[in-house]
Amino acid sequence: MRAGTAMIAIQKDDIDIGRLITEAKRPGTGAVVVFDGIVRDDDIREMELEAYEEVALKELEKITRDATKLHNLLHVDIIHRIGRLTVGENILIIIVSAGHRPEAYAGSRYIIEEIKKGVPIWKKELRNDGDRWVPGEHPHGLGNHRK
Amino acid sequence: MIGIIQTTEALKYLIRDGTLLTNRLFLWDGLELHAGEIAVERNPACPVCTGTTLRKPHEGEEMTIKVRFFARFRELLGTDILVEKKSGIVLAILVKEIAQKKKEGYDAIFDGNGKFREFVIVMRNGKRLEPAETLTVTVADGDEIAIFPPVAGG
Repeated sequence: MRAGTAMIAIQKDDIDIGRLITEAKRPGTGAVVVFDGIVRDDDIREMELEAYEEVALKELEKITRDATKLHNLLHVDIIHRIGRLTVGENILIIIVSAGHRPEAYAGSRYIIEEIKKGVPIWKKELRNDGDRWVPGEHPHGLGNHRK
Repeated sequence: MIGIIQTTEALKYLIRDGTLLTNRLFLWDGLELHAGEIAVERNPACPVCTGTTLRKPHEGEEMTIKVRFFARFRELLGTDILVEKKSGIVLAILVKEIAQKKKEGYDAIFDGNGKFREFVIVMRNGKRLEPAETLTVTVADGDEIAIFPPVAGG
């Protein structure tokens, strides 16, 4: 149960996105944008995700604060899953609530890009032709230099 | 006797000829008139020949440091490694000592010169360190050091 606060979590379990959308509606909300990152069928059997949880959570909290300030958001949820996930499963769910769609879209986009840049989470593809760690989009992890 | 050998080695080094006494420790036993040698490898964590420095230990100093590797590095070296140290040690040297237990793990993290590879991210207590800092910062009791490859979440 949440009492009007953001849900920031790194967890194994999936989550009910419908319920999150309902709870993201605040006084003044005119738009809710949902980002749902999914395990794609890139010829893989499964995906294994791991996080440096304590640090990743702090990073997610900071991203949430920054996004809220930058884009006037009314509510944010970020749920990043770890452990073994199969094709079609949710990896990352970002719920953003704002007064108008430009802010909601921009806020959602900001959050996913910041996560890609610097939050210590890794994924490994379990493939039929051998396992493979997914290389980061930011090879030097420069995104994390802020702060 | 030893001085003459050292001089000869220095001259060989300067004229770039002959075979130098590299990765070998030459032993001379004058009492028994016996010469021998043992193979040694350069220690990448050596404070004398790798440009890194050790802090002088304080008396009676005991500390526990937790070193955590993630993703590929974790697979190669394990994680949540607790190290007991008598004194503060330079962060890079501590990590090298641990990584050396497995060549593949060491090579994944350090380059041929014993420096952290460019893409490796080093954190101390949740805060990222610049590569140069890892050579000067000494670890303290209760520190958590994290070593990981570029992130790939989302």
